[in-house]
Amino acid sequence: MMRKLRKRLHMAMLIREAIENYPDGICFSASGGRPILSNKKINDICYQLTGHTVTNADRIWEELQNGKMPDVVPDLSGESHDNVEQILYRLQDGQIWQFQRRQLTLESGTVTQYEAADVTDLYRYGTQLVEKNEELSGMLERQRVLLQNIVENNLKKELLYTKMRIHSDFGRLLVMTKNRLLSAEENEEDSGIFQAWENVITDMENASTREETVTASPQNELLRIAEMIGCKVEFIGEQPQERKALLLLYAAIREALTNAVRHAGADRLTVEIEHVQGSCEVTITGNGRRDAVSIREGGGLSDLRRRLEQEGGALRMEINEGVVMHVTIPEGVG
Amino acid sequence: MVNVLIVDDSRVSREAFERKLSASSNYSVVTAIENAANAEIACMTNRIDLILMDICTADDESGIRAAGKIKKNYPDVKIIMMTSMPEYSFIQKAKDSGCDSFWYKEYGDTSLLEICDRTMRGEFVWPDSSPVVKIGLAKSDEFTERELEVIRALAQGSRYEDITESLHISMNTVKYHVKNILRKTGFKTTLQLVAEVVEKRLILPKY
Repeated sequence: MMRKLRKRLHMAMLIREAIENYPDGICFSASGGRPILSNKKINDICYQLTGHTVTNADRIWEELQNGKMPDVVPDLSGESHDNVEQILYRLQDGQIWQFQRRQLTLESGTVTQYEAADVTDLYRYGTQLVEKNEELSGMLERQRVLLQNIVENNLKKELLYTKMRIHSDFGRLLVMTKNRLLSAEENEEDSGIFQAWENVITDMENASTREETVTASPQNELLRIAEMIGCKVEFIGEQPQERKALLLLYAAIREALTNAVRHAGADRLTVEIEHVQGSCEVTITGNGRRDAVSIREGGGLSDLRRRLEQEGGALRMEINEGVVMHVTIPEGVG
Repeated sequence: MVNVLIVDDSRVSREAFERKLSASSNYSVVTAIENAANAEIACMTNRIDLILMDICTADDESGIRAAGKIKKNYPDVKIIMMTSMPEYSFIQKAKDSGCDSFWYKEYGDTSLLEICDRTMRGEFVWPDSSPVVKIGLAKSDEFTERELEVIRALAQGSRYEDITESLHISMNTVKYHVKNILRKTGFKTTLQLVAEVVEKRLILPKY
């Protein structure tokens, strides 16, 4: 019996010693905040903050939480703390302390564990990390703009090279024509010169419209191709004005058109557009066979769904006397 | 008679290709379009035998992606992928999408008509490699495949953390590759590197 008691006492002393040697402040409390076990470190820091040691852990936590202490600093850890509550405190000398509370479920009941740790260095590094990340975000944005400018400059450069080539052809033709006019004889190459002039003139006309085609309307070509395959696209309602929304609308029409013609033999596609609270609600139906019983979402529809969702839009397919595509396109986002 | 569809965002190029093909009695141009995404629709009821497909087309639509879809639904249509961009990955991507031939508009000795004829005879005509461009002090063929993947990720605006995830490599490996790339090119920052590869079109982030 004595040996058992001595063993338990020895065990308790070992635990006590381990808690005292724990590098951070630590305290375990029973219900109502009654401390069961705490070390000197947590008592010292609580004394420094509240003027008393841990006599009631719940009360100290409330004092910390109610903001009675000065300078609550934000949690910079960015970690998720399931079942753990956390408060960060800045002391007058600039030290940052982190207090954590978690519930431990034991066989004998529930115990609350409180921990206090000096995270001054961690906080400093965390703050630096946030600043660096902000700086990096700024750099990435500048990089994105720079890349866009490079792409645009490349387009302009391409146009310039084309114009230079046309002007060079033009110069050569002028010399050839002058030489031809100076020679009195008829020549078999005359028709070649005429053809070359026609080509240069066409190129010059096209080059001058090249800049317009960079931002060409996405509508005309799709509607022309649709007509070419014998399917007419009709619109009810006003199409969006912004280019981004318009591109999404035509991506949806393209997909609906492909499916309506391929799977239902449609020759007319109706696109109904409504503008509702900052978004464009589109319903697309074909006049083809109405025998569809299910919709298999393959590459095309999945791509469209991904593209719409990336821009904050949505896609819904429905079978209602044929296949109906419902598309939501956000407006006013650039 | 071979029915041809031309896909190119440059009106000058479209007209020029049309003229070149019209000079041969073997080819008839059905239509010419600027957006690759519309090409599949054009194949639906038309008899298209051959598509001359540019890679970078209007509204940032990729000719390679469009070719993949067309080959899936219309495997008999021959597709010649064409580009003036030295982008290093285009040849492989075009092969993966099932294209029949590949033509550099501004490099190489093969003429348009020759590549069309050979492709229609059933040949697969491919360049051995993409054009070499100078990136800082390095030539583009001095980069390893992995280094090019890292450069592409940087050009797409990825952070080192993102690159570790997308390429399944450690942070130290990313830094090792970046260090080697900067050593080869002589650039001091990745921003200089990215600006140069995009300007020289070794990498087109959107494609």
